[in-house]
Amino acid sequence: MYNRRVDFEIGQTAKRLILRVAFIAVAPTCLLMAAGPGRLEKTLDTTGDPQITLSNLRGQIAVRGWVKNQVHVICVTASPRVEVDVDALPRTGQVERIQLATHVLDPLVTGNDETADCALDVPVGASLEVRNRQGAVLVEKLQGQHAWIESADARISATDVAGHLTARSLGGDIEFTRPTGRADAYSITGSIRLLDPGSKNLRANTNSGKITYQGDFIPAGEYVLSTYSGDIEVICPPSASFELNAKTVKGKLENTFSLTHKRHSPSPFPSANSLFGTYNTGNATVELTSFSGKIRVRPQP
Amino acid sequence: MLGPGHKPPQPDRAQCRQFDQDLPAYLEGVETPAVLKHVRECSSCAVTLADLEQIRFVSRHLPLEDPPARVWANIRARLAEEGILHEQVPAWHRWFNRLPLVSESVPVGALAGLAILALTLLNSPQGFESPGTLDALSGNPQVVTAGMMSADFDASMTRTLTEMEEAYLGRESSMEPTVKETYRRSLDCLDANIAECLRHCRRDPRDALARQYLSRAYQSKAEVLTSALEFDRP
Repeated sequence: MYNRRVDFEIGQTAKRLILRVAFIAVAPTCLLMAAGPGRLEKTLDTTGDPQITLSNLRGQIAVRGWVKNQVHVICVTASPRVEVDVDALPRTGQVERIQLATHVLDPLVTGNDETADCALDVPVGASLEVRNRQGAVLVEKLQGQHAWIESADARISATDVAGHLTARSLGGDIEFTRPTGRADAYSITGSIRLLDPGSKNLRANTNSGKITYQGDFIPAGEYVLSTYSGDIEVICPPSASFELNAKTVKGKLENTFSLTHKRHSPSPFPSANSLFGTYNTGNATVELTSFSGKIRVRPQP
Repeated sequence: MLGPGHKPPQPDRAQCRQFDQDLPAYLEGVETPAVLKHVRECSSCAVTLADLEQIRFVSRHLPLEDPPARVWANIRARLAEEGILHEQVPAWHRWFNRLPLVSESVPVGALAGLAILALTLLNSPQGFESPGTLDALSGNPQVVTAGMMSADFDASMTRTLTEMEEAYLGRESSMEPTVKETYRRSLDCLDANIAECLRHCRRDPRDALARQYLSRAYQSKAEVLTSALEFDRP
């Protein structure tokens, strides 16, 4: 009887101990899981032209230039097991380089839980490098040396960027609005829209997506637009002045500007449909090529 | 020991800028006493130097990694800007063709880099992208002929890309379905482009524009595979 009671009490104690240990072990995990999204907000004093690098797995990224010599970062993560590291150099005084990187702390975190949405206000003179695997990237009002944006399938939108602008997205659409520096857009299946460009050097290339150029050409500018099967549409004002060099292997060419045709020897592209000519004084050079996409050049209504 | 409230003397920014200028030489092993003197006075630069020393130490023990595709793109853009790219084409082309491309000992990243670089270089000379080249081309048919790649090159390129694709397929399962789908769609698109261009070029081997498109499709595929192979690197 005594032994059975002692055994019972020992059993109860052991059970309580096991439960306590289990609670201690499991509770932080449960709390962590219940903690929901994380948030990082930080303001850094910078030079007028800091270099900012952002590497993110998934989420929306917005970067806007402002007149302050400060970088203000707000990042919201979907899971507390995703963290955003901010590394600033030099560590004292005005910051010249900032690196933001998303890390997944738990390898079991996948899919939407990897999401980190980030909004950055940066000095207008900042240079930028953004790599966001999934999720839209929006960049506005930057005049720094360069802005490099890369994504797997996200939409990339850049407005009023004055430096060398490069955007690459495998499957996402790219839209440049009023770029004034050199601009390069590359996609495989996404479409590219170039609106009111003020660039003197602009290149766009996509395979199956469409390219739309809407705006005037800058004198002495070079514009190279190329697709494989996607259509190219150029819509410019009747006052535009350009030298057109359009060719396609199998696609169609459609031009409603009355060009002054150049005299030239037979084309080295025997099977290509080609169109060469000058409109007005031919200040800018416009090269349009496709394999099978339709090329259309027309004035703005 | 510094007493409470005592602040170490802070050097002015001019000294820090001089430190920045002297630093590369110091790290290269050049004797620069000013650097050591400055880090004793400036905690910020001392931290910078310590970090760089640590990076240098750690990097000596790191395996060699291939640079990302964008580095090649930047180099390409810079070389093209400076007009250097055209001069290097024949040498690179010959060098590239001599490489044992499918050797298993060659890292996939290096293959990718080489493929991109070779195609970039092949794609760029006297190409239709450069303004004003068309007239030059039309007056110089030899240039067009030089721009056309041989069937051997196509075969070599196909082998290289197949190697890269096999490496990619080995990693594809670790990708998220949506990302995998994006890469798959892009690769399928480029495969279709390559097949169509090859058919066209066989029918009409003198079509330089189609050749350019074929070259560009190879290049794009190499870039996409490189990007995919970088995807899950730790």
